[in-house]
Amino acid sequence: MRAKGWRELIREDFWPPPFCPGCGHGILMGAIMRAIVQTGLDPSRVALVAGIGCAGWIPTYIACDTLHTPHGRAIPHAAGIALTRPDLRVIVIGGDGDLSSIGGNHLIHAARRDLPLTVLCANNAIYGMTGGQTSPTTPPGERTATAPRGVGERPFDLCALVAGAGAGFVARGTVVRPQALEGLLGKALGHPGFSFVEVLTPCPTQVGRRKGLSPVDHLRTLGERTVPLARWRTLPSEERAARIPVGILRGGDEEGSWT
Amino acid sequence: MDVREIVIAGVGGQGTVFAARILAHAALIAGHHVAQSASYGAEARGTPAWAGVVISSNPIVFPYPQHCDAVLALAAPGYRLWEDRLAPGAVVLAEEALGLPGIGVPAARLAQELGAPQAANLVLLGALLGYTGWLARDVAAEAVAALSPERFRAGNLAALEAGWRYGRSIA
Amino acid sequence: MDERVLIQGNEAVARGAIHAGCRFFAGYPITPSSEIMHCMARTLPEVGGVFFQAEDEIAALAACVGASWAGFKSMTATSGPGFSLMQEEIGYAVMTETPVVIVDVGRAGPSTGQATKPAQGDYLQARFGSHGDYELVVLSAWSVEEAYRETVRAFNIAEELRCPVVLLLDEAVGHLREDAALVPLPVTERRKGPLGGRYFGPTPEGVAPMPPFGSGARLHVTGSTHDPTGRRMTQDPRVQGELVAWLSEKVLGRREELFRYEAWDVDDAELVLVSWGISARAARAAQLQLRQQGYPVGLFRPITLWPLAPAVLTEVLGDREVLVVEMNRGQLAHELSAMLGPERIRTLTVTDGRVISPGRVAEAALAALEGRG
Ligand code: SF4
Repeated sequence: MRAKGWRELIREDFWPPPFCPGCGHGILMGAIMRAIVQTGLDPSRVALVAGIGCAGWIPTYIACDTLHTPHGRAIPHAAGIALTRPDLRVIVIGGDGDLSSIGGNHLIHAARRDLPLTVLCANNAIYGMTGGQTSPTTPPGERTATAPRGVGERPFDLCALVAGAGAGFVARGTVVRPQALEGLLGKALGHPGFSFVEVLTPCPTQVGRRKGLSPVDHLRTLGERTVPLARWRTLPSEERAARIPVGILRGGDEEGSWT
Repeated sequence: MDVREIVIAGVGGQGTVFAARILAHAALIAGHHVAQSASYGAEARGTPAWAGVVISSNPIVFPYPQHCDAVLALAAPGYRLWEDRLAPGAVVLAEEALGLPGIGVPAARLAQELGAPQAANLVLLGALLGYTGWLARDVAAEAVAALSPERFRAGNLAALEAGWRYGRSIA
Repeated sequence: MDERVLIQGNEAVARGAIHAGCRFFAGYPITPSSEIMHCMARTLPEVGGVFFQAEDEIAALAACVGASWAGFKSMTATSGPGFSLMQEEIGYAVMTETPVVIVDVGRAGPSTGQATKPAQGDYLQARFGSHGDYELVVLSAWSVEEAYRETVRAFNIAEELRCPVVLLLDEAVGHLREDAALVPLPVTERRKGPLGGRYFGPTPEGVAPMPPFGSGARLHVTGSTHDPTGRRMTQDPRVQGELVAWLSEKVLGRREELFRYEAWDVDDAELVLVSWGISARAARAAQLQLRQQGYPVGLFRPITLWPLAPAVLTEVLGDREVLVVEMNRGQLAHELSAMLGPERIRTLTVTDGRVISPGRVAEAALAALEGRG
């Protein structure tokens, strides 16, 4: 039976979630609940699968069947569910470290296989829970606990990575624009094969504090840096480089190059 | 039947395992217990390869040949691995062209003449059964028919039969 | 006589799995276990099951655990190097009380070692390989027919105890082709209800029911410390202590009924050979020969390798001298020393990638009898 409102999706006996004040994961959690309601899915036919990391806690507080797995391993567990139970909608939720570092191999193979999964990656470009270490998406030059003199490696563009591996639906949103994010999640849930949504989100505790950004300023900067894909395409190339396009990047009307 | 330990020895690509599977299957049809083993990791052509078959009317304790009652030699490298593990009175049937000790069988030539050059292994197997009478001719043929791919079936059956006749002729 | 077929050990495992109700297999190619995967790939679609070739062994076992929670009995098969990769997920299956069967067809290690040669060097890894304190069940087989039977038993135990069960074979049994009677055996079905909200131990009723995903239970399954409802309790010493005790005790508490073994001529023996898997066939051949020659030698063959039942060992072996025969550096011997005392334990260990021969066992047994003299 479909849920009437997102509050039905709160796993009340586990509430409240443990996110730091100003963390984007609460907003993402709300967007997931609303997207499940809006797409008319029966919450008891939704399987949520997570790995380890702050974002991996999100499904714990949503009242669907939830598998909270070892670090990096959400996707292969989800594969076991999705392959045997086409009647269930399987959603993977994890952070950038979980899904693209330790779980990176699983991510590209799931995209290549076109497994019927929706993978949501809360990308805050840092390891939050373990104390602010460099992740595969930390921008060059940023100072982290493991790069005190600044990161010297190139980051992944996660959307380009999974698109390159064959993902049929790829989108990027931010927690700064929760309604737009909800829309993207809804579209991803409606995609029959492998769908991927990168969700840009702040980690005020491990990034904001280090940079001296208040949670509000942190969100504001993220908002300023991101531009809808259609507008991003019209920007001069210097400006494009400084901005991040958001929206449906593959599998929608505006499909085309964004890198 | 008392325990019989048989090794088919050659090099990779000569069908030692296939012949052993036929022999094992025939033993099963005849109502015996049987264990078939093989050297793994030597599938490349030219490297020594062997397959073993232990047949008994009682459940088999140790499933590998230790003191062979018979060795079928398709090539020298495989045979060398077993020549010092023969039981007293062991039957050694070897491809004639190899010049190995034991009884020479023109397996390659007979197989060639039948238009089944791949089946020298089955000529030797047929010869063993014709020579020793350890298993009946028809159960061996049944096993060959059951395990051979369609396109090789007729040739394999003919090779077994030619070998069996040869074995009988020298018995 | 039963209908007997000629079948390879690895194929017999696949047949046993299908008989036991396995409907999901995930694996990654590795010698000498791949035939199990090939057989499952052929057979599963014919019986309404699902086959998955994973990107690595970590993913293979993870997919099995996912499928198990989706309601499918699941199995993976591998060999030493892949088994090492699976240790993380074995711990997860233990912690989440997930039934799953893992077949490890042992090959000579460490590392890549000799991929096509048999060894029994994974015993302690099977028992201790993942981190933290836990127990699981480890079974073995010395013949093709037993590989079939113990595969079925592995599935049944996995369902009864809700834990991972490891079937330890070796290259020799995996690749051996023997006549075997693959007779129907009793099968334990998944206990899927009632939906009472308590899906993890410890519960007063013992092992909790395991409803599959999608049945309305709104499960929360986590590898973090949790209470019987699945709620994460990562700060509570009582919950942690009780959970760890439960996960071990649900296995150890059944050790006597889980412990399957065979023994021959032990009563009047002055020396008892103890051996498992393919080694035990060499030991049995040697023991028969020595008995014929009048030597007081018996054989004890554990089929269940873990948990061992010390009470049974003591009862059967008494205070007799023991010669442990295995294709490793003394791994089962290590456990037996701990249980029976090291003084009476001798070992014959072979780690050259070959099946131990009856002749070597007989020699070692005679030496042990003399040394004792
Ligand atoms: S550490 Fe960062 S990501 Fe984790 S909960 Fe706190 S703010 Fe959120």
